[in-house]
Amino acid sequence: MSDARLAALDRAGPVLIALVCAVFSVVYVAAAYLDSSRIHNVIFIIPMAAITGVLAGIVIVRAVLGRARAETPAEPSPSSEPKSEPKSEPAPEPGEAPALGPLGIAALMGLLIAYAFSIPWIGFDVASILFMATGLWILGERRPLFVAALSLAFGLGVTWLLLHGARVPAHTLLL
Amino acid sequence: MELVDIAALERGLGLLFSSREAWLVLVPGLFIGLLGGALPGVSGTMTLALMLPATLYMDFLTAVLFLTAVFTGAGFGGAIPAILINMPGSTAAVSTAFDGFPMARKGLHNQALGLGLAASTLGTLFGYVLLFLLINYASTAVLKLGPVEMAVVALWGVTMIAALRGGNVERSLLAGVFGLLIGTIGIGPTGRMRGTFGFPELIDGIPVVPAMIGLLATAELFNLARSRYIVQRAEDRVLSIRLIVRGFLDVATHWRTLVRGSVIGTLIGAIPGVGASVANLISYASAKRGAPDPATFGKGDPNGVVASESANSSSEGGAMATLLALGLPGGGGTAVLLAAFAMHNVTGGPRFVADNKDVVYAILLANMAQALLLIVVGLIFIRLAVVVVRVQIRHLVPCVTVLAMAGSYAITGNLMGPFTLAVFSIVGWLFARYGFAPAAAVVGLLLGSFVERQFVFSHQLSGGDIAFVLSRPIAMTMLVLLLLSLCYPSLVSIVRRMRSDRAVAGPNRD
Repeated sequence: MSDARLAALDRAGPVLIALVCAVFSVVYVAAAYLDSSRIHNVIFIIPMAAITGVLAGIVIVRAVLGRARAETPAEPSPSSEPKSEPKSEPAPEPGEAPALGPLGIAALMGLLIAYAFSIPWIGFDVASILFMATGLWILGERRPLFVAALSLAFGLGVTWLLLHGARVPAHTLLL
Repeated sequence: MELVDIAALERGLGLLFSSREAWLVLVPGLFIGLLGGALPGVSGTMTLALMLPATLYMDFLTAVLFLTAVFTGAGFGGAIPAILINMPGSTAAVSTAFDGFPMARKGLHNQALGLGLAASTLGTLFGYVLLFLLINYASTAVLKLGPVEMAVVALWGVTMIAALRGGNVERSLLAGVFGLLIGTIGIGPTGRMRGTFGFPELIDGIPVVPAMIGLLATAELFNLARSRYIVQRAEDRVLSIRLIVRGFLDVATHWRTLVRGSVIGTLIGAIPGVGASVANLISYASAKRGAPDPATFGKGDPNGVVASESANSSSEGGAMATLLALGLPGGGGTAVLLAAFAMHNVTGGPRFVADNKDVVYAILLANMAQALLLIVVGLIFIRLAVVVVRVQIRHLVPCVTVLAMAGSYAITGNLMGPFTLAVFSIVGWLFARYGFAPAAAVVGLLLGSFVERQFVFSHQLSGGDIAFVLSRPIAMTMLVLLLLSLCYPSLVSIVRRMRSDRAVAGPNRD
């Protein structure tokens, strides 16, 4: 995806989140009402869904108006919307690792999702080891022996504690 | 009715000093509580529940004192990861992270931990002293609060945090209300499943603790990944008992926040079902609203740590008041204590207080001693826990994520924990990036089903007559306060704008 498209998607973030909240609320309440229209089933969720809808509308209108004003060259960006724009990352200080860009963060998020949803297939132990190794690599650790040792020791150690300390019948492959 | 029953107090002291076991269990109890509270995903309630079987062969007083020591330790334990890695060890420490973590990022982790320990210790002490003085009156006072009042207090918690967390108010309110809504997913009040969309794993609702860790902590880890250490400057990365003690003593300069937080915590802790999770948020919001410069909150203001820790710790005394006086648990922790009561064939309530006032006084006095012991045990524990600031973030992020994943797995006992954690981490990152206050969503999620139950009870009590609310003066006062607190930021900005307009117009007129 090009930088311009990423930036456009980023600007649309608040509108998309508000839309998702509103759509989910409508679907949730409609499904609950169709299932049982008894007052106690909907006494709380209908008012909450209505408030969600109103707030989502306000967020969308303000975000769209804020963007329209910002794009008008004659009028400077109003002070009403300064916090709505995503924060820009500060420059790294001397000695710091280079900033993890949008792709790095996306990779970490994807890795976290893969970690959680791979547990039923490869077990908590192997999933943890693989997550540790890949995560360390994404975050800039380049010593293969260190990566292997920390991943194995920590992944297996935590799994052992989960199985024998907390006594959770977790899915595992090695332990 | 007399304030303190002197004869019962003497008998209580006799009970306490004739039992060596009762004193021997305090330090291990505090240490276990600190450890359980500090481990992300292992809540104080879970630690208490795990320790419950250990009290089976203890006598009643020893068992209660051991469990309340765990409770007290866990109360402060949750603050340690909240300050060091922005991961509240429990829902009661959510607002401790708001200013504690920014303090740590500035290299003030020692002071923040010392301050948190002091606020926690003094808050616990305050709650128990107040309970000691008011136990005779507490049982009648708590009965005046009905479901309407409880619903308003809980809604107040959500709106306060949304309105005062900073940033964009309508987005934060949306996050809070959306949290309330998804907090009702699962089996509804009529026994029908709602919002599970065909996933039977959601019958019990969204697992709150994994969702909280995801929304607040793992999401923050993504942003942390750009730094090398939590504390940027190498010279600030010291582990100093001297600085921790200085932070501890600094609490004296924040005495107003401490007293206000302790009063709020004790009062809210006494409301059954609400407890520390709401107390810390309302206290934080109140401290921010009353501060001369509210903009410093969320950026490392020590008052934020004091407000949160004093309230969540003093709520323990309030919750114990409800447990002892009414036999009702104020939260998860006191629910486990109630189970301990049942295990020893003891039923809390006005009759228990009247018949066993000596035992009640013994419990309260020993808890005051626990609060003081927490200073020493807490300092030792902090010394061990603070090592985390010396670990590079590129090593810390994967390790903490694996720990959080294991904690989520342990809490749910099935794969719903890890799945929830992963999904809500991404939701939390998106919410934080676009100003939707993940903390408001957490509080909403936490209280959704509770508020819904209060709505249903209120409807049953009133027979559907909305005018019923008007006949509840406490609820009406709380509602007015709720609306005022919602409008407060807008009113302040309007007044400031009018003043600045007048100041600009003034010289021109001359």
